[in-house]
Amino acid sequence: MSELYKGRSISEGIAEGEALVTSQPLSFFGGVDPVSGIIMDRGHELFGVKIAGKVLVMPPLKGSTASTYTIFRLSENRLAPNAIIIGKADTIVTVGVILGKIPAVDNFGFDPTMRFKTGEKLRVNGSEGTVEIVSKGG
Amino acid sequence: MTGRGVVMELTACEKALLNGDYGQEAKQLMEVMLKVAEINGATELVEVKNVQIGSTGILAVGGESGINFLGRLADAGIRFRIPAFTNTVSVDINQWQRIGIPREYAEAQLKGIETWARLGAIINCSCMPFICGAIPKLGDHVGYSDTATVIFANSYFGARTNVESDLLTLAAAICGRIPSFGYHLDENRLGQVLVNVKAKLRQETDYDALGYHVGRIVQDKVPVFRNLDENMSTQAFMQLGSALASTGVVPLFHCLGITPEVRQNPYLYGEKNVTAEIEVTDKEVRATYRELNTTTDPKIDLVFIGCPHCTVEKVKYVADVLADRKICKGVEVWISTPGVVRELALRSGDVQRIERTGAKVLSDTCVVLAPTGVLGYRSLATDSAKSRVYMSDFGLNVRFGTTEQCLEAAVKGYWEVNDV
Repeated sequence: MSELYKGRSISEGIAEGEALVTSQPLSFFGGVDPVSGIIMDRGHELFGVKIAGKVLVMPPLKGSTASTYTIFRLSENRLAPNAIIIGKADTIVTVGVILGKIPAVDNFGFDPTMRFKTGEKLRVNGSEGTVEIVSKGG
Repeated sequence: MTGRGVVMELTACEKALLNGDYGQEAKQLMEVMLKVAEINGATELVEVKNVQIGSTGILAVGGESGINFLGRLADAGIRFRIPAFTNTVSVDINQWQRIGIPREYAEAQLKGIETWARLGAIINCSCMPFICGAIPKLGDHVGYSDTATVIFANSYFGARTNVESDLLTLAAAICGRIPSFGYHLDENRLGQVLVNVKAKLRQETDYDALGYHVGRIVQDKVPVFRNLDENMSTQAFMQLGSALASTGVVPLFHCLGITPEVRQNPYLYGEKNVTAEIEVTDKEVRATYRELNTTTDPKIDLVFIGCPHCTVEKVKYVADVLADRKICKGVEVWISTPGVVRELALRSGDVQRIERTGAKVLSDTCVVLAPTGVLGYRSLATDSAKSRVYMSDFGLNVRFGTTEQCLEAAVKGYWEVNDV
């Protein structure tokens, strides 16, 4: 049986992918290279890791409002995560994922960066606001 | 179309946008507006007098992808229905070659500017749109995106805006309204921390130091300053706000006896919700100068004055301080202003006085948004605490000091170490 978690719909659509989990706040603007989809913030635990095609599980964003356009640009370049699961979505990430048509869910009542593990296969339903662990991976 | 289960009343124009009558991009912007309202608990949209279009710098807009998005909006017939002032950009529109900006970089930025103009924006390219005609009055709602612009509008005019998302200001320019939450609401505008200013503030940069210091302490609480000089210059007010917003996340402050909300209702805005009090003396102000000036290498290759953008009085002051001395060879000096200020300063002869020394009076851009790193600068001196914060993050060695100290360094070519 797969496990289903209910959160809040931020951006519509359904997507699957391998979870990439971080508990450290990230800024997309200046923190993710929009040309390669790789995290370039040297101080971040995921420095050098590619976020394209993953289900990115993260705490609330930090930093610049320009992150919105970076998320959109990643999406246009087909380098965006397949979906985003975030502790609490702020205006910046919300605007970015809607424009970039990236399914996104927040507000679970628990910390998603503790619940979901890197490598698990997740199905995100941004329209319903649900996340399903399809397989434990590994 | 709901916020906490409340049905949002939409205008005919908003319904048409949401319906896709003006294309996919405009539809997405309306969806964004309603989702932002929902996640922030806003139950209504309020009319805004004017907006500031943010992320106008070429990197911030995401290069071609962002500009093409804007172009598709314009192609679909979208035009702004309220005044929309563009924020600072990455080049000086007329003088980019003069400061060595690569052609390809400038052309990408100019294409963006052309696209905003097609949408009906006012190509103001400044963090101080007030100098160029955006003059809200007490209680007006506006939608601004630069932290320095937002804190000035909220505090100096008593207008109402959050640090709005760049795309939200774009949506607001199209439909004329913005979600009402945060600092659009009375209850979030009341002062929370009383700041007793015992320091003697002699020059504008002292206000930078004060703002930098207080922002770190108050974080997201609204400060109420006591004992500030009611005759402080407009530029000093700009410096205080921009510094405060660079270390804190609060986009509003009150000054007892000075700013409009607290003058209108001293008890409500200045007292009712105040739960803490701090004191700032000369000691803290001096310590902040020292802290902002940590670089040990005395060499300077770029001097920057104009964050926030200079008023016309400040440009005149810079001309007076330089007093026909010559800038040291190998040092670049940028004085940044809005375009209309440069034009006024030109008519007044101040641009000529400054440029005879070798310094450059620029418009539209600033040291933070221009490709300073690409241009090869390593050691900056500036009289702006906000620029000091950003440029250190970008990896430059940065000196912070008074306007005179910075211009002195420009003439000598190095920073006088004992000058702190």
